[in-house]
Amino acid sequence: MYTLKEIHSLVVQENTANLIAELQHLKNTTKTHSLSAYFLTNFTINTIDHILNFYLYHSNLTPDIKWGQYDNAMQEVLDPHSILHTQKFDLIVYSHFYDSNDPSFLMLLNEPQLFINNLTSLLDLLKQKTNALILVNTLLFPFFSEKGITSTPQDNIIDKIIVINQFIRNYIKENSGRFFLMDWVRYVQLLGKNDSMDYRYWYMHKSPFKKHFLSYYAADIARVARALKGYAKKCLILDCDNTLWGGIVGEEGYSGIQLDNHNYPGKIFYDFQNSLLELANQGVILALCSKNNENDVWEIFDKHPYSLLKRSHIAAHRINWLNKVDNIIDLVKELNIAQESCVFIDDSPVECELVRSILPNVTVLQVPAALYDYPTLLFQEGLFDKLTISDNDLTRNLNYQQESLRKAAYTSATNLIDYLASLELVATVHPLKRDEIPRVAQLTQKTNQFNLSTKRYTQTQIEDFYNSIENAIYTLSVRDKFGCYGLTGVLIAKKQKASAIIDTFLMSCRILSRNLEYVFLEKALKELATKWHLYHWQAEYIPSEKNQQIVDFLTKANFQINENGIYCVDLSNWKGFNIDYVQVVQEGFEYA
Amino acid sequence: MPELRIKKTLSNMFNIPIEQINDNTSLDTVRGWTSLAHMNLMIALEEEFSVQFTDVQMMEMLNYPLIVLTVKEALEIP
Repeated sequence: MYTLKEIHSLVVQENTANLIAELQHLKNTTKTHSLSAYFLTNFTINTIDHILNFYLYHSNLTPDIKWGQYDNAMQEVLDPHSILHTQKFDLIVYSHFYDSNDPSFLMLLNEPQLFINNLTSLLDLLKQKTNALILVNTLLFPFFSEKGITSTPQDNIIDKIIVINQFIRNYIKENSGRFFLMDWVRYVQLLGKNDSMDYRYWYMHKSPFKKHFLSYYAADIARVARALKGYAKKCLILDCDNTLWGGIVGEEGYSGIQLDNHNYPGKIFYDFQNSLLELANQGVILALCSKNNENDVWEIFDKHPYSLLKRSHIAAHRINWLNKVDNIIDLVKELNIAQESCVFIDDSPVECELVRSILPNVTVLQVPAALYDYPTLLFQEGLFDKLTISDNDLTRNLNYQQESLRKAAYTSATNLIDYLASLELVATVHPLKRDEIPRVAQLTQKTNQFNLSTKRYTQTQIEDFYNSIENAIYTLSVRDKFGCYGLTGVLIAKKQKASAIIDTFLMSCRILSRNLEYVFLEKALKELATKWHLYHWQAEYIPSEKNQQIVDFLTKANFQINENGIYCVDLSNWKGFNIDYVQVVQEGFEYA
Repeated sequence: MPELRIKKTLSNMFNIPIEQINDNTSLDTVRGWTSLAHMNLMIALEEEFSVQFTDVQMMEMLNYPLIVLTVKEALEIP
């Protein structure tokens, strides 16, 4: 999968006719997921079609993009027969453009509050009447002031647009997880007027934007799509010398490295470390992979006055003289995540190429030669985008450190059962609570390995399940003597006439290998079977590239494959698992 | 001469073999030459020849011979 930056370079360098021709070939390739999007617009933005398709195909998605009628958004939302309601979409892109020279827009602007009220009604309706994620753009400012150099007591156009844009930003913040900001103002800030706007096409076809602008817009849409389909990276593996600081600590020593906030190039590495802190706060796991003497490295983390990163931010490390590929394989195993979820950063082109060639699933970024671009590198790529940031994300690095303490306990116990018993595991299993909805949606979006069907759900869809009597959702939260893992397991069940179906059963990989999946399944199924009086259960297993371990689990859980190839279990004579070293409770500690 | 590059652009754009492009190739004979495709075609030709057409030129380039003529005009080829 290309990074967004790589796709952007392809789009702007390639001739439009070649791009369109290449799409014909891409249409015949198979992708992991599909992505449907619906555009509601008041102008012509259809020239983004091939660009957005190009981004989505290269994001391992099969796109299905549909276009609403020209300038008819409100009618379409209100019409129950419109395609907006008869078909389900992953994304709705509300794309509104107003030219500051257009008198009818100036009329609208006379009453910014009226404009805001109309927009609120539209966005509220979209929120209530659809399940899609909704993308809304900011309005562009005029390039020239209508009053020249004069300031008057009355608001000018820019003042009014500021008010409207502030409203849009706030609305999206209040509806985070459901609405996403497409900040057109930022694209123009990055590109300037000449690479953004084409007024020839605006006046001839109501199509104001140039390819660079459309490519940025498509990239932001693709970021939401990638996050929705669970492609977010989870872990950042960092080299140290010339990556976290300038210079080589083994040669120049503790005081010789460059990391000083007040000097060049120390300030660049200092700012880069700050971007790492931001990602760590969003729940990205940080790990070190460096050829160094371990003590030299920790001395900087522990004592250097300008080292923003501390030892406590690092979830796992391999600081030694072994080859980096083996070290990364080892780290990935320790953290129990997939190679696809990792990003590796190093300054050495040789190391980068080595990792790229042997571990193609790991995303490799090289420290840029133009060092001044380094501090924003990770924000530009959008690799760690997710739809919401939950409480769990904020404590993740802490959890991984507790995990290494647990590993140490493991080596002192003599067998697995004794070890698991020594952890004092407590599992809270109960029907979904309203405040758990964002975390449940997030887990369906990003869990790949232990995931029965790999169905991705949005917050709204989970809410619909929550409100329906035909469905039930159970959650699992786990704690042990070292700390709390939070909400880490989800089961979604659907009631049918004679049987019930397990639609989703997933566990976060950080709590696997403790047999908690059996405890959770047993507790939830037994409760539901009694409640629904349904004892014949089917598991909707959908194989993916990463969820092979599910087959093993279903077999061990005594599911049988019936004549139609479906995994079934009859609960009326199901023994369960008798796992006595996990205490199962109904309430408590989920948010500890 | 720009003819071959124009044919190649049209071929990529509308997914038709390059040999089939001739003086009869126009908005009326090519399936998919919609107003949206026309805009993309103009953008593709501008990129191909690093030129910028005027609005009048863009409205006139509705068939292959007229495109050749206009591109030459924009490139100042006599």
